[in-house]
Amino acid sequence: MEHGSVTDSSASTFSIVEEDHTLANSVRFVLNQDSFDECKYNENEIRGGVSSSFDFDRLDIFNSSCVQIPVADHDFYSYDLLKHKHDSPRVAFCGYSIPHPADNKVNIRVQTTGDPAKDVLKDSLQDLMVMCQHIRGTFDNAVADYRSNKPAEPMDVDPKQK
Amino acid sequence: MPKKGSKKTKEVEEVAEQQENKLPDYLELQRTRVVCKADAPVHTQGFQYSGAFAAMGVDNSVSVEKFCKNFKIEINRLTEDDMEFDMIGIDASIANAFRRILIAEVPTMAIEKVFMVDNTSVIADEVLSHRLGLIPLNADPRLFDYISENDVPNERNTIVYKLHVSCGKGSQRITVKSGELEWLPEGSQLSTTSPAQAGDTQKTFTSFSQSQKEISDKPLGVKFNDITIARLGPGQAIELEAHAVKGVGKVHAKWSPVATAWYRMLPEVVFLKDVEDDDADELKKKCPVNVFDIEELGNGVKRAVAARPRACTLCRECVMGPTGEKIELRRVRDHFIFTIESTGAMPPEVLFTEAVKILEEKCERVISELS
Repeated sequence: MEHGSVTDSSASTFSIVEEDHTLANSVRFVLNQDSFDECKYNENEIRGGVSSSFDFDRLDIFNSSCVQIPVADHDFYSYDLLKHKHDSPRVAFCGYSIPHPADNKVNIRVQTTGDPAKDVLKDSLQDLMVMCQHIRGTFDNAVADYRSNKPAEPMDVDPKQK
Repeated sequence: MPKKGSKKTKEVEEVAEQQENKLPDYLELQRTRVVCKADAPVHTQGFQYSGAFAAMGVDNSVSVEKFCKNFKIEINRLTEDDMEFDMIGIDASIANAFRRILIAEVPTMAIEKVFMVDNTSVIADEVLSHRLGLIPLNADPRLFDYISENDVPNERNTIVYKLHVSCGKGSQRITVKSGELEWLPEGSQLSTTSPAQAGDTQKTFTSFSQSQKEISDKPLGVKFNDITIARLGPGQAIELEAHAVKGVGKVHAKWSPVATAWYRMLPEVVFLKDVEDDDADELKKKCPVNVFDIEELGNGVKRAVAARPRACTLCRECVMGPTGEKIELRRVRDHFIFTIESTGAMPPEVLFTEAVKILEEKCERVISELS
């Protein structure tokens, strides 16, 4: 169930029944990792636009779309940010809450930088599914490897021979 | 060091060829480690937001491709009943999701309804039924369906057990163990109507159309035969029939497939300053799990080294006292040592695979609800 504004689809609360922290926290994590069109920007483009004489002490980061950099040479830095489209995630805010512990509901709040919140949430859920499938595959391979290597061990120790 | 400059395009290309962008050490520590100080852990949150270091040009996101590339699983121990394995490159929220699902949402079979025929023992009916429910059954829940209120119990959703023990008038008191529960593959033997009525066809509490021996290769008995259910004195008897159904741990803990499942983060023991000679010996004695070893340096000087940091239980003995300032205990934020102890219905590696499948199903359900 989506609670949001008819005119502004970039911020809504999704009330999901029969779910709890298990799914909500995982989705919140994946939403936090969400970035815009990653495949478009390769590594060199990203690494290219940085200065490392950056003054870390005076750094102020609110969120990805609102960064205050108190340095005089705005030209260079504003150019950096335009280059860093990779680092402008679609998610401005994401969080979850359990309205009442007795009710079996969880509210997931998603606020985006423009895209419809429903689509961003759906993409994150798809990402989480892909991650789960990868985890399952890796785990099955690891178990198979372990089983094929294991029989070697018991043969090493034979107390009667020693 | 690359120069800060006002020329745009040319500077950018020069910088690209030089060093990779890394976070300064103190931030990298905050991002990847939880530091366990003597009184409390520090940096427990971590930087979750993908754009946290955007202005520094460091990408904090963990895209699905990067995750798939860096994710590793190493199995340490795998037996029929328990397993210990390492998950590297995953976040706490997902590791915790698996732990929660393993405990509460992977289904199992457990006794739910008990039909008492005769109970003259000192254990009350409901207490006896409660104990029967907690007995782990050797049945693979994937072969069975859930049963709801209106469903007829049949061979696909119910397993029937019988318990009929009595203690003779003159004999010693006996202990009723779980091994005395007898599996009835053909279904219930109790009739719903009294023998005088019905006639030829007696209706029982279940309607099995085929024997459960066809469904399961191995006998669907109890997993452990030596669990004490009750004690009977001379002249006492128990006669009952128990029906086991499929359920999840969320509803009742008897349906939890794991004795328990837990994880801990990989410990790291770091020497900020060397610990030598007598201090080193004392340190080695202090640690209850023998994390430290003494290393002999050439000129008679001894030094303490962390030989087995993985065994660290965070008792913090080493950070209290004189060596406190020299040692730092840390946890690696994305390396989880998972332990799963199964109660026997399914082997632990199958349990974990089921848990991951259940998380996928949850995502699918929400996606279809949203569409």
